[in-house]
Amino acid sequence: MSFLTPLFLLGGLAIALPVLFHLSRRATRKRTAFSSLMFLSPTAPRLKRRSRLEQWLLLILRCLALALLALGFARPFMKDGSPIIPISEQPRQVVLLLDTSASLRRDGAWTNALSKSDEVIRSLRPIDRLAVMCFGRETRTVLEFSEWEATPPDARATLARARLASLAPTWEGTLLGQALVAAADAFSDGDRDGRERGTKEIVLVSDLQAGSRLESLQAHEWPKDVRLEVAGVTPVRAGNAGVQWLAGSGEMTTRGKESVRIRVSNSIDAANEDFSLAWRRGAVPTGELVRVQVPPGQSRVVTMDAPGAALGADRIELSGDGVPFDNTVYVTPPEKQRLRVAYFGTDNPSDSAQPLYFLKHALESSPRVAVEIARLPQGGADLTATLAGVKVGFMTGLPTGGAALLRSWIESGGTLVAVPPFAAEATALAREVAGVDMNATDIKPTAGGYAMWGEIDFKHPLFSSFADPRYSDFTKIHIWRYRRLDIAKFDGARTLARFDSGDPAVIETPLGKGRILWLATGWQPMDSQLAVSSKFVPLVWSVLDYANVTRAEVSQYVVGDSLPLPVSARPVTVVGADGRTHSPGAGATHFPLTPFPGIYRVVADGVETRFMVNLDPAESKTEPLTIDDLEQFGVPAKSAAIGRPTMGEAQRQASLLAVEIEGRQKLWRWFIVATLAVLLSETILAARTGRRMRAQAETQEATP
Amino acid sequence: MHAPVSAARSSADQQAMPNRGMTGRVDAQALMRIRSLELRARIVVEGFLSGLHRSPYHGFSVEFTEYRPYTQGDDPRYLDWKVLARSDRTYIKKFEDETNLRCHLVIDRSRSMEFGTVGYSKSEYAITLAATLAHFLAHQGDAVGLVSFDETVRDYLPARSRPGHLRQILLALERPTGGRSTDLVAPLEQLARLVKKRGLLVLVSDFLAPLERLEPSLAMLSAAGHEAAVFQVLDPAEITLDFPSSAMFEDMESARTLHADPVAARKSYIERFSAHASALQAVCARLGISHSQILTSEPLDLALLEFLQRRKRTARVRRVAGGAA
Repeated sequence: MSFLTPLFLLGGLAIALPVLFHLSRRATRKRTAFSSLMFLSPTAPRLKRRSRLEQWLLLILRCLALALLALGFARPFMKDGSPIIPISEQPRQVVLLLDTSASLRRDGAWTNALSKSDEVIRSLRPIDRLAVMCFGRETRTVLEFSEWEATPPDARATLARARLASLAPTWEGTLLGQALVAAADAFSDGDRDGRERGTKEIVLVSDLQAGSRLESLQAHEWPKDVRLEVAGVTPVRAGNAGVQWLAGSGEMTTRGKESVRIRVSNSIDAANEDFSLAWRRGAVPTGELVRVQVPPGQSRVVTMDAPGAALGADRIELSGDGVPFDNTVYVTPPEKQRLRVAYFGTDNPSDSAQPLYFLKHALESSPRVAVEIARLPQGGADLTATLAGVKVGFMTGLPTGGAALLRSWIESGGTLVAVPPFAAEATALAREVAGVDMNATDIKPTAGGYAMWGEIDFKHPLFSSFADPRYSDFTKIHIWRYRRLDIAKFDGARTLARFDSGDPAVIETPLGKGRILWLATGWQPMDSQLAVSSKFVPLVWSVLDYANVTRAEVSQYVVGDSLPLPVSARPVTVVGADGRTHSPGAGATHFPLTPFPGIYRVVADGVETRFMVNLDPAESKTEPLTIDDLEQFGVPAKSAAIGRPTMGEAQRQASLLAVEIEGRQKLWRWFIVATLAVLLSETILAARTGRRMRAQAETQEATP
Repeated sequence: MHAPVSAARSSADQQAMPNRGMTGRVDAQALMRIRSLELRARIVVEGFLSGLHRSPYHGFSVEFTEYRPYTQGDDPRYLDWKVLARSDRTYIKKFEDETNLRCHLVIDRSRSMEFGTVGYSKSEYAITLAATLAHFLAHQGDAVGLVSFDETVRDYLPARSRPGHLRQILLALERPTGGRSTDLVAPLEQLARLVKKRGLLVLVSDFLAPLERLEPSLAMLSAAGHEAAVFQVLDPAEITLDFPSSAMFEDMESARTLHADPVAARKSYIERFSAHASALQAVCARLGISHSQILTSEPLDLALLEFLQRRKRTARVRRVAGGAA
């Protein structure tokens, strides 16, 4: 039997204590009251004469408990009988997982990461395999196992170093969980051919910043045979402050200017807490400094006035922080969108009995959007010119002689909301625009005097905003009259809502790239109560949303996000933050190449849209995670012990083997169990002996 | 003067009435079993008085009786003519002022007095002794007072001879005290201030205190003109250190503890103890104070007898000394 920590055997010397206690006289516990001690001189308690021990069994049990405890702490193990190949003799498969996220841009971090990686490469033997992966937001394979094996052993390290040298920190966020899962999957090629290739290790070279995302690990069961070693990277300077653009910018400030809300956060290990913010155009400051004080570990939200568009400021820069990589946030000043909506009808916009009156009020301009209603037909107006750039039209009356043009406008992607006031108009519209023979009839509900919308398809984009049960009650809207439309005549028609009588209330009929939305009843008071209900304005705006004319809320993108591209017949160009111009292919809906933070300009049909692409705000959280945080996700991690050759190699191997065997046998647990058992029996025995001795003493006292 | 004893005597006490031996002395163990202090005192005193007639010490009743037969040389002024007329016998009648003694019983009630190995403590023994003396003196019509003390004077009853005063003394003696250490200096100084008129002071204590502190106090009393008698009450175990096994000994007054093996410590203890006792005796002799050491195992009437003998001797000495002057 051998011991892992033999020094603990010295604890066995404590056996001397119970022997001494058993030798010493017990009578000292007796107390006698005496009138005065002035004549009495003290005498020391004496040891029992001639070392006569009492209570042999108790003494043996006590000594045994101490001895077993000392043995248990010495971590014993049996050397023979278990033919274990130590881990260090097995071939190793190592995935070197290198963090290339933006936080590695801190001073000294990247150099440190490269030197740690180099240590890993140096520690490999010819029998080992290596793959190199790097990760930020995406995980990329830099060197595969197969390439490593295909290279002659003496050139492998050079190959790996050359691949590492081609890497540099990116501007991306850190999806650590996803990278770990990918790295664990990289071993699967070895598993496939069923050959035993050795232990599986992932060496993670990362700064383990708190902003790393680990959520992907939650859905992943970590393979038991893959070990994770963490080689922590430390930058030269601790502490970091970062800036973040917040949604809700663009509100008016009390001074009547548009504002931008910026959050300044400071890490808990920061030394500085006084910062200032300033608008810049390139490197040129364009506004006054805004001072902000952020104690370590806290954050502050600062509202800054947006500078005038003429100044051309495109970024806000934080000064006062020693770690500059995340001190700039790119901001596009909010812009007002201008929309044109066509209205086909002859009614007077100031007549409160007519549909246009209500439509005009529903489409009031807001700070974000200005809506212009183009009325058609107007005297002598050219329909073609008026419809240019218009995507949505509302129709209550068909323009004379314009049916063919209208049809081609719809087919090229227009959305027409048809609200025929009588059955005759509905029939004419269907025939002339949609080319469908349909006989519509006017209906006046008799039961109760009104109809209601009964069955509504809340999954359709038109009604999806009402899907919440709080808003889905349409029964308050009474309908006095409607047109019965024969849906069966249309190809591909879809009923979005029905009346309680079962007749269709809202129908969508596709036509080319566009569509006609048929409303069987108008919103004006003569037809229904729709215009005066709270549903009307949202419904009109959902038509605009459905026609894809409103621009989404201004939002920021982080590095690596795809930018949405507008639908355009002509080629779209994208000017990147680095100034390079890209031309995405026709029909592309998204532009994925956003490797740098900055302003990306998308030009389509002569209209320029600016997108702000910023650093992932989580990258600013640079305080390091602990290995325990990884273990919470079930990843058995430990600190990498690369570069520790202090002991002789043979001795190191031996001690590793001993640790390995001891770890498997875990004999110490049996020693602890035995100690507890001995202590239990000692307690029982001592209690019995004590009781017997007390009884004897009492009988002695009773018979003096 | 008879106290209403019969009413107070309980049936338990009647059962516990100690037998008198052939010598007429009361066994201390049996006596202490009686709960009523008054009864204890009466038993001792009555036994003592009845034994007087058989005792060889006949002459000392001069001091304690009101009447004595006329002898040649007595002043015929003091003859009780009425008795002579009634019974044709000559008796001398002493004047009250002259006969009545003013005696203060000074009792130590400190915690060391609570020690006892014979079934009762030194304190109980001392109280019984004091009660006996009080009863005896009151029986003769002498004025008796009581002073009980520990580190200070706890109870003070001035010396009086009127009926009911004995009962007050007995009640005061029966009252438990929470005294701590023995300190004779302060109480005796207080006593000297309280008792202005000269008289007899009977000190009952174990005197287990350093002698250098005891001596000035005793000297002060003696110098104040008081006649003093000292009873040193001791438990037999205090003299012989008779304990079976070694133990932690705890001082009853200071709560100090020390470990001692009586077998090993006995010799030096006895030496030091007897040195203290003889030193005390020497001090008393030097100051003209009668000193008697009483063990709690000894009968009480023996103590009383010894006290009276010593007083008679000192009285004689004083008379002789007074006549010579």
